[in-house]
Amino acid sequence: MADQQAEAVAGGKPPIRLGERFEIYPDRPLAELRSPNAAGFVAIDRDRPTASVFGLVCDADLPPRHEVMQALHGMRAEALLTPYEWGVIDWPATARRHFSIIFERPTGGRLVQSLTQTIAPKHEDELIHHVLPPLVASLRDLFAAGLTHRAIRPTNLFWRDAAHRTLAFGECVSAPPAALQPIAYETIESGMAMPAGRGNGTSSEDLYALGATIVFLLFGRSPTAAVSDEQLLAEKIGRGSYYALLAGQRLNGAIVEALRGLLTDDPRERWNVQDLEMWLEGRRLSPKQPALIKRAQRPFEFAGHAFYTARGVGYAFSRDPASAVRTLKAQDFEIWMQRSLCDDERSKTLTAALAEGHDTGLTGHDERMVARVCIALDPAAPIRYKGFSAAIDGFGAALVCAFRGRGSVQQIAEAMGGRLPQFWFSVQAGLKPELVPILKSFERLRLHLEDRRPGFGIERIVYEMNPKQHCLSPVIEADYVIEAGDVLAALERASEKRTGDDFQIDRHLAAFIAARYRNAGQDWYDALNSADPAHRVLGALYLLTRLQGFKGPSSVPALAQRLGRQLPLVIDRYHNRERRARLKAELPKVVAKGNLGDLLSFVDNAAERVRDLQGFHQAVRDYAMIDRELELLRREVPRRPERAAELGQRYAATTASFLAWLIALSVIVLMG
Amino acid sequence: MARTTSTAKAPGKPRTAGAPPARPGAAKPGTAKPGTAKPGAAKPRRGKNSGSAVITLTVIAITVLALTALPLCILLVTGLLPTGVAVLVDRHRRRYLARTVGAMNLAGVIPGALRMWEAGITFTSLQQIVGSPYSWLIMYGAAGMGWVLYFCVPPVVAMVIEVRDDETKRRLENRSKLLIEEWGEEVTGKPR
Repeated sequence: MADQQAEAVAGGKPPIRLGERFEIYPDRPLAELRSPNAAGFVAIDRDRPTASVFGLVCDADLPPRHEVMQALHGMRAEALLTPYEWGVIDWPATARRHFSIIFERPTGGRLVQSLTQTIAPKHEDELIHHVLPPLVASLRDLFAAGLTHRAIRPTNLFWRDAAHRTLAFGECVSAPPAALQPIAYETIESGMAMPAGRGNGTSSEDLYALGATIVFLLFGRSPTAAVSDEQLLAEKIGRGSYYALLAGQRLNGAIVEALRGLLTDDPRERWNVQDLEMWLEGRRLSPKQPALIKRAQRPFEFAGHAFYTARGVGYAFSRDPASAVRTLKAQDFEIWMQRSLCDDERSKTLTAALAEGHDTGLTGHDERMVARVCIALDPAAPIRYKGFSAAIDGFGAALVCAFRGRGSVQQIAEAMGGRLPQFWFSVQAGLKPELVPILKSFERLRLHLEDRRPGFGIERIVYEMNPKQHCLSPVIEADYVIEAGDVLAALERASEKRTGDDFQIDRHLAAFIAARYRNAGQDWYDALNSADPAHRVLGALYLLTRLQGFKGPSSVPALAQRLGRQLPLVIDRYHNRERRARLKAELPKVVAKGNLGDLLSFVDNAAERVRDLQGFHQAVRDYAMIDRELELLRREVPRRPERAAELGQRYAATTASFLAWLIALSVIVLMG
Repeated sequence: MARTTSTAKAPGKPRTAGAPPARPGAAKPGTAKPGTAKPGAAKPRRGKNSGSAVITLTVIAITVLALTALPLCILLVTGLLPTGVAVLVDRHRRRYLARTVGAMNLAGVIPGALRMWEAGITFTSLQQIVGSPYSWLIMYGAAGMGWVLYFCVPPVVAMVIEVRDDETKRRLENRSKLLIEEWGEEVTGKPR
């Protein structure tokens, strides 16, 4: 995508405005400043035309770190690229909208373009006196603000000056934390996670990455450049990071102390930024020896390999869950844990992992059992389920990437539905305070996951876990809509291109609105979930009307046109045929105005609805009465001759009596 | 010939007007309990005594008339013979035939009776009246008119009722059709 943007340039294109202040030139790409997920372009600051800035136009598949951007905005770190401005821009080359960020342009260019590139090795003294102090100071400021960089690697270092004396960290906001980090620059725990699921982590991960970067600077190359990721991770687990990253090379001097401190695999023993600053100031400590990992007396054989540590077994299980299930169903493994590894804590959590079965009856039960066992064996490792692997704070970004085709959404949903995060929390020795809200959110999100209505489900979790994630609905994804107030305008633009299609609110759109615009109410969830198409259309119209009332625009004629084609279904909910015909005849006029509120009150007027219902009930009663009368008449037919005879005879008698009296009176009068 | 049954009235229960006649022997005397009589089960009916009383009164009236004015009595008895036949053949509980023929027959007898009253109630005047074929034509002709009325009116009424029922049916069907047109098939309460 970044290449596509960079290549899709043509001469003389007008600059793209970002906010009031910056302009990005789409026909002036900066290849040396591009990130793996974002193309770099020349930009200018209209307020300070002499300032050197550049713009990154980000790939829409990886969510940027909005919260870090916001925090870095006010920060002026000496050796850290901080964003000046950011926002969504129209990008003609891809005919869609992209997220774009403006940074100060480093004068000296990038340190290396790739990890296979070699540079002149830096001397220990140069590192200690010139290179590291500004970098460490910037990290200190970053950590003090409660942030992590998570993109410290040689390919993301820039020379601040043309003389190539001072280095600065590159940007760390255009992609999820550590998503672009090679395995060599990630701790074992973070390296086991899929790139998008590594999470914000802690300062400890950044310092580890700095240690690995120092190794590169010392050798002028990456000693592990030829080693595959999988092999390197296995080496780190088996021999420890320090030895794995040196790949048999030897180092001497004071720098060894710092490297051992930064590259130790136990986060509790790893140097923090104060340790590093003190060391830079000249306080020398005795070199740390790598902490001894608890090893079993005899190896455990699995998949043709011998393992001595719980972490090693856990990693192997996570790579081959099917074989792990068979192993775990036999007794050998528990016996090995108890008798050879002799780790009571691990044995206890393993028993809990095997016993726990909240999700019995659901598919993937065995795989979740393996995932729980992996957590029990290595609580610091990410949650690993089938092919999915993410840190506890990496689920959000991993889910976004899965929806963009980089992973399996189903696996993440199954992991969350199977309460794997909750189990992960239960085996942590000391629950950090910053993790408590995450635990609570997982409990809350599981309820969303189990709700199958539009507005909930796994799609809702994407937007709950990523508060600034743009809407992934296929209808408006290209519009890069971040706020609920922009949805309607995007829908109108989409409707202008797709006037022939019926309008429907898909699950992403529903979930996005539900997460971002809570004042939209809750009544529309059921309406959108209804099997009745008229009810669904009405639910959509209600929701869109509320959005229009929220932030406009006041007229959306194209969208109204698409909705209008489905509204006869809603009008047919009226019983009175004359009313239906009248409303259908007048509908095109109301649709043409594009005001959804008017359209809603036209097709679903409460007073009209009541009148219609009352009239209908009266008609039902009338019809029933007529039916009864007709039935009575039908039943009377056989009795009609009898009734006619009775009545006729009575009339005859009455007539005769009347005539008799008349004759008698006449005779009396005439003869009298 | 009065069709009367034994009285089986429930105390305090007034006779229902227009109630259908009970089957003979439907209610035995003294079996109906107060307050337990079901509608239509043992309906109170005209008693045998009332019919007997009418016959008795008629016989007494005829006897008294024969003793006081024998010629007039003979005229009336012979003139009202069609009524007597109608009474004998009328099986209807309301005796429409007897009432129709009787009323017309009586109207036909009145002119003869008045003539006798004017001429004096003697056998001579009786002879003059009964000797005139016109007298018989008037008396029996009037009775015949009664018979004609009795037999002709019911078919006419039947025709009127049929026409009226057809009209009502057509009107109701039109109305229901209008309701369906206005409110759809749902108004019938039957699933579409």
